[in-house]
Amino acid sequence: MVMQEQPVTNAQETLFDAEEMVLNMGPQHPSTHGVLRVILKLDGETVTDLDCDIGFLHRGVEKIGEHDTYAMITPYWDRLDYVAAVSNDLCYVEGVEKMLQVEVPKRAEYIRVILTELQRIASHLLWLGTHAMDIGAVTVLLYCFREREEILKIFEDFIGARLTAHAFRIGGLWWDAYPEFETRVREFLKILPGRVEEYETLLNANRIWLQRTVGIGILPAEEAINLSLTGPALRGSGVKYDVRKAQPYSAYADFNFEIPIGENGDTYDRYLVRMEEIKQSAVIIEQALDGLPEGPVMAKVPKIIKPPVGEVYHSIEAPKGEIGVYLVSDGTGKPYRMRIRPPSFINLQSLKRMSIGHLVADVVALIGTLDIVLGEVDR
Amino acid sequence: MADDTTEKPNQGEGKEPSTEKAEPAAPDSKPVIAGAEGPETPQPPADTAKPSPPSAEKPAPPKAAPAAGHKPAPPAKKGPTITFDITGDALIDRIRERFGDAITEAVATLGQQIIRVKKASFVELCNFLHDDDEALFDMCTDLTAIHWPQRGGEEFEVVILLYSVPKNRRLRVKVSLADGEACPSVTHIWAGANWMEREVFDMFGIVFDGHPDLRRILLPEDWPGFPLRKEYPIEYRDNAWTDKHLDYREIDYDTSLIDVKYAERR
Repeated sequence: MVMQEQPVTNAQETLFDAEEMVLNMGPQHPSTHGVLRVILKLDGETVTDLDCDIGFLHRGVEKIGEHDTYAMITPYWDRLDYVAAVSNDLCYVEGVEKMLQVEVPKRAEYIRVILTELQRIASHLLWLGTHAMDIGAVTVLLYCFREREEILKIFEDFIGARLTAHAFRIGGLWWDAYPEFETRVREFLKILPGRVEEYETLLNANRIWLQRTVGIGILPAEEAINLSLTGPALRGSGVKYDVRKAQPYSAYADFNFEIPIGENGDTYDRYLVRMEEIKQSAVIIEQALDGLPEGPVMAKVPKIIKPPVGEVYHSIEAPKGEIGVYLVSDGTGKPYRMRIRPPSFINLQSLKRMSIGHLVADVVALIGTLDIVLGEVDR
Repeated sequence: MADDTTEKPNQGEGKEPSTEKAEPAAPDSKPVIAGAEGPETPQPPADTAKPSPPSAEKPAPPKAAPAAGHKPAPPAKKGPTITFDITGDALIDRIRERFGDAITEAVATLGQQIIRVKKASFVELCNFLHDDDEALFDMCTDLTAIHWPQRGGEEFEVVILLYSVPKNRRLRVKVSLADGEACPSVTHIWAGANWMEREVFDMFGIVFDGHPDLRRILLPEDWPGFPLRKEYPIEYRDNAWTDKHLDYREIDYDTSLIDVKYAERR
């Protein structure tokens, strides 16, 4: 943290007499998970005001979208929330399919669900590891990366990439699952519950963890909704809104699973919600593997994709929250307008509301609890 | 599905199959880049816009269109369409009853409901949608804008995507604006709209009246132009800005000179 300026007036002659201090956190700060710059106004160690400076990673994906054909845009979506590339792709691809009114084969939908839920587990594990490390528990990071590695290996063999995994195409999948796919996913599901238990043993009753998270950044349900919060951050406040249940997409209507919600809306509840979501994702994957139908993985889609004149909004439940695409078509091969609803960007604006009144150290915990990825914030 | 029978005058030209590259619209396209929107947007100087004529084809066709007196609503109704008028929906009827002529359009695209409202009644409608017991749209999922340079007098469209948690339904509200016209802010209704409005201001230059803190959000404060406007070219590199901020000004491509400058700076 670098001191940016010390407001010194007649009444406040030195730094130590000053009642207010402006502190500049980031953009190169490990706890901001990327290039987020937070400008804090402090009274002693208490945050009195906060402003986020974002846009360091802005590359104009929405503008690029207007100049590429529908199929060419998909890889850009991998690079929005780059720790959950599969989920992003699902959103875009389904949005275009909705516009074309294409029916995706059942097998492709099931494999999509499996991959997306694996991605959710991977994203939550990365979140847990880094969040815990920000607060001071370095051990958890190493454990989380151990399990995440297993998922990335499954992705690598399926898709060929670990991070910007690009498995979906408009109408289905690029490839069918490889022969050992099912056994490998099942093996992973076998080890997962024990590992999740390990993290919970490390954290759930850990005194430092509790002191750093319980009662920090409490957000009541009405305020969370008013701030357009989505995803685990919203559910931690006790709002049962999950796009998978509210407006089921893909094959999610076929599976039974619970939506965990918190009670107090603090950082600890958001942690509990995400841990429960990992378990629920495993439940979904298991059901999808059991019911995995045979058949083709690609629907009949014209080579040149020209949706009819009109517009569509489609959203899915990504690990970070509701990611959405708003496509406006003018009947040509390129979207007239492509708007991305970025959950990280919209969730990040509640940081100000949550931080005021807390200590500087809690800001680190609150950035962690929102689970932002700057690639998506800045687009 | 690729059947192009829509009779939109403005899109007839751009829609003929495989004209993306072959279309000889080059003579028209350059002036569009250089000075289309007049005083409002700081335009890139004409010489920097030179490398991007291919990307400029899109804004070109609309040049002919405004004369046709094009209105936003009707054209989608002809040919293969996915947009239909809403009939028999309790909430939409209720809104229509309350606001009457202020609701200029109520359609459903692929089952997604869209209403268009006159600017004067926009905030009142938003308040109604937020508070009314039948509507209860308590979440502003997204707020964005679309630029239609071919629509004379209503070039911009601000779109709000609403979601109701208790009712589990979505609604899209649109309001049309002329270039340079301000849009009323809805941040006092949905606090979450704050950054979204800032982003629309950043990307389109639409001013939101009553916004508590309207500044650019993703781009630098002194960035010239608004990137998501259609006349803003995609392959445009702002040399003046990079010169000023990234300190490349004194470096030319003589490598020895670069070494010297590096040494000096350290």
